[in-house]
Amino acid sequence: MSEKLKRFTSNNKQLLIMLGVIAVVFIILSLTVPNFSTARNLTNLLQQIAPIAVMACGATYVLVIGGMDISNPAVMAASAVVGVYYMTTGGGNLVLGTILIVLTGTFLGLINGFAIAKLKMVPMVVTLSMMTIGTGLATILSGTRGLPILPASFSNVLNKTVVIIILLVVMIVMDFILTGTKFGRKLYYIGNNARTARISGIDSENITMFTYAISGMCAGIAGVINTASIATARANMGPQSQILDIISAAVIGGVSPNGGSGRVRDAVLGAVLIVGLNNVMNLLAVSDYYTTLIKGGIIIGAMGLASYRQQQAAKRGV
Amino acid sequence: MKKVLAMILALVMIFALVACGQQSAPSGGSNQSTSQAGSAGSPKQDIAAPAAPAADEQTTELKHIKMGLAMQSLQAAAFHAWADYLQYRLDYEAEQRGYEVELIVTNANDDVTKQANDIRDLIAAGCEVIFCPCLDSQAILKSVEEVHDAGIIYVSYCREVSHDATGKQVPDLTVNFASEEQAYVGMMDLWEIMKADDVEPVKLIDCYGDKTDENAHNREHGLRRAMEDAGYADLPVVEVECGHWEPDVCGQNLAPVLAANPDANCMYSSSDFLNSGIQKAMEDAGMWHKRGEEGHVYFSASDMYPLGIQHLREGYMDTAVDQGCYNFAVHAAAGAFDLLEGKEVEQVQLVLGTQSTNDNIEEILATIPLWGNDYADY
Repeated sequence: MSEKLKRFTSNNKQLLIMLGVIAVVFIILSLTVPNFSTARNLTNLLQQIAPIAVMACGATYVLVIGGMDISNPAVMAASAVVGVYYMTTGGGNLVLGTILIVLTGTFLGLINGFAIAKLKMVPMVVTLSMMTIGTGLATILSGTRGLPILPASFSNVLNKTVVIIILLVVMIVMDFILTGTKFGRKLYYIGNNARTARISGIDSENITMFTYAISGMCAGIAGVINTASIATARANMGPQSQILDIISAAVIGGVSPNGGSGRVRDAVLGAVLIVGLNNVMNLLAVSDYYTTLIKGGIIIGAMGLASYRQQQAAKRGV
Repeated sequence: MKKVLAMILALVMIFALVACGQQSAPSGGSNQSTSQAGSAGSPKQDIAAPAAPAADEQTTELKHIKMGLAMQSLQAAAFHAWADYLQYRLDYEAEQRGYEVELIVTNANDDVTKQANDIRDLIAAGCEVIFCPCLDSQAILKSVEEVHDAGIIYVSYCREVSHDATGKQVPDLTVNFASEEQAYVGMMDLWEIMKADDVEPVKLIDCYGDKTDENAHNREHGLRRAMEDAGYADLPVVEVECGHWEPDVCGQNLAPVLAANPDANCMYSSSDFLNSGIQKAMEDAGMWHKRGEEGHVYFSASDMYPLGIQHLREGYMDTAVDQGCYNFAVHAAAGAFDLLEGKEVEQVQLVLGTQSTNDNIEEILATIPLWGNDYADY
């Protein structure tokens, strides 16, 4: 029994740390911040976490293979605008429009992947370019007056509960694929040493391309969630600064920025901390300037911790 | 060791949260605007401050009330003025009526989704009134509905929601610029000045602030109405898109327009917040001249930001109508408390700011406390 517990603790160290931190923070905030532990606020919080957490799931895959995708917020906005454009201007079906949002995200991610894996372009440059393409596309399709509001049925169906379920499903499925399938293990191999992985017969080109497509798909799902939140889509629904929240959620969750390690579920918990911070600051009436300062401090602290852990692991030869 | 470090990090975060929460507790308001109480910076639309205090501070227990202000951004001086003046006037009204008010201010940083989330946080925080200058007049409609579903009062502050709003999407109170009148009055003054200088308008450049903002649309209507009323309905107009009130975008888009239209001799800008971009483009095109100099482009703009006031004083700008920021706060604070107390209020209250020209700006500055002067350091 104690051997089993030891193994579980050793295998899930990051998860336990994250849960511990969240539990401590939650208890203290429940006792000190008025209205924090109300059902309304907690469901609000989960709804706000969902888009960032879903994009952090995609970012985790990309980081695990040693890549980088900074186009997520722009791809999210572009996909949402394409879908809402179809649903409103084109008089399209709401279900098909929702699928279109996810497909658009996947397609834009696939373009990223193609450029990086097949054309051997630098990930940062490719995804930076995609960021401007996504913003441009969203701005053009939004038109000068913005897209109309969707019928109430769209947001009614994709309500808080459904959004939370989507987040849980995405997290569970993506975590299982990453840790419990051959495909997932190949991602870790590529992230640890791309050359060795290639020599071992892993089709790293196609896997890399597919990984960026998954990241785009996650941005598309986040686009659906955000569209439900405001009942329309706008080019400015995914500010570029949001990428910091996404990447830091993953890194705080223990995903290595250098590739080869990390889990989706821990990245989601990282998103809980990052997004939860905004919510708590609002409840505490803390000025936005302090919020950004504290957020930046926590991110640097977490990055430093991640770097320290990596150095220690390298020393031990893990 | 790692666990200890993680715990320290969490504790630092918690202490920071709690400490900052205490630091930012309302403290009687920012007093940037103290000098304006009673005169409100707009002689035309000024409303007198309420008379003698009603509550006996020694014996009456103050009723604590929480309100929220979901700012769309804090990037411009005027936005700070909106927030600061509102805090000041809420404190003032609260004192008169026996309340103690706590105002929570959030900042969406120009992110339309974050503004919706901020409003949800304010609902969860237990606010009884939410003020909001919406970032997007259509995307805000769902938030207005959510606020009403929670039984909370929604005040559309310094921005209007879309005219498509129906039922629960309609704000309980809208306090906004008389933005159409701002443009109209400013342009009518401009035509007068051109007439006085014996200059006939040849072509007008129109810097359109933001195509998703009702205030920009209203100002466009005001401009067109002024053209019609002055008999210039057929005057050629070249439109310049300025993104979402972005001076650099405005300047970038204006540059080629100036190159293609060197004969343009008059200009309207939805806001002189855009003036830094406009000045750069006009300087580059060799068209930035003071009134009285050869090649002067007659220029009217709304808002009277600090740079706008400077350009008006120097003669680069000829007419302007300010925002009347303080009066927004006066109307919004009084209206919010009236609604809370079950009184009826006029649902849409439009505030016209001070009308100024290059000829009378010095006199105005000497007699009227304009918001642009309060925030000249921004």
